Amino acid sequence: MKLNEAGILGSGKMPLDCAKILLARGKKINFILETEKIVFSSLKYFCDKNRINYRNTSNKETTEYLRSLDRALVLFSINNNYIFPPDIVRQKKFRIINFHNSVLPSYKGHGQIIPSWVIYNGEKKHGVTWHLVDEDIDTGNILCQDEFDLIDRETAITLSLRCIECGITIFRENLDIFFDLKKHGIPQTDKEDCIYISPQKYKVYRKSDIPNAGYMDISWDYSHCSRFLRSLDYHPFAVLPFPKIILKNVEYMIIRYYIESKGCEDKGSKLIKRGSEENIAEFIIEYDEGYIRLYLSKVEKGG
Amino acid sequence: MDKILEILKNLHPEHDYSNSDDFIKESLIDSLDVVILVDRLEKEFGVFIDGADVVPENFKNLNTIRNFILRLKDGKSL
Repeated sequence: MKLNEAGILGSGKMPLDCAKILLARGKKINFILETEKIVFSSLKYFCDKNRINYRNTSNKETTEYLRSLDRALVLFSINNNYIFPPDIVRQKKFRIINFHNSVLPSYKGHGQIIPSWVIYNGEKKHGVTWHLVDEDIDTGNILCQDEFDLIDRETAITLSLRCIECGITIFRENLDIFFDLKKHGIPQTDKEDCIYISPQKYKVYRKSDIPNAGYMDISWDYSHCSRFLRSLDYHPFAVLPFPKIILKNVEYMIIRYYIESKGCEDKGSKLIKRGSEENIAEFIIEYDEGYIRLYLSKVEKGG
Repeated sequence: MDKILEILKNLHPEHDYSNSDDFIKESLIDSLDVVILVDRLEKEFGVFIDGADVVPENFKNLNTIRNFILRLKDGKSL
């Protein structure tokens, strides 16, 4: 049996792009619940234009809305941090499908912190998963996955963008599977191959789990420092707190950093936060492989 | 202004940015476009764009982007 109607929960560009694909393929979208309001989202305008029921809902309102539904639907959870309560998950009329930005069963947890850990852990490959939702976090059967290589100088924001791009591509390719109730996917316990190298890959990450609690350690080697700085770099969006460093018992916020490889003309550079020039100290660390230049702003007590 | 329009046109050649008052409302840019746009504006105009300034008011249309860049070049921001 195949369903033909869907609801979407999520926020931002990815649910919007998936909604466009659904409409283009003749699927009916009953509603879109924007479960987290983000800047530059045009989901509401898209819904108004296409006469789709749009609501910006809190977790409580989302639950109440889902409990009020009486139709058989595919519910897509896309860049959505709302956790479906067990009574919703158990409802036979719903087929709930979640997008997760890792190749499950590794790197479960909050989607915004996963790219950070993938970079910090020095992974060489990454990818995405669409899976059925069960009563635990990111544990349901896998419907489709894809993977790609990390690029040099990958940051949290570039990796997030590539996950979205990859996720949309396989969403388009696997649409029939999503709406087919006979497709039950593959249990995660049956997956034997793994693309990841870190022993921490099986942890379930919360958004508050920031690499090394957000502090750079001066004793780290070049690669470790580089991975740390890039892992917290969501520029221009303030997704994570600014990285910090303690030098001679004084705590500084790292407001800008440059990573320069010796013999490499293309100097990588990223701005994290602008500061008033008089309060910024420059700090350069030299390694055999290159330089890391930090621009530091002293953290005021209580700030 | 021409440079800003050129950057936007490179993002989405199919969109008419010149005649839009609200890029977000008209779905001409989204959050992912903003990441690329900020990077290109920083390189083109030699400015640093703070995350706190990456708000719809500054990226609403060509004029607001132009004024935002001018403020940054003058050392001011919102």
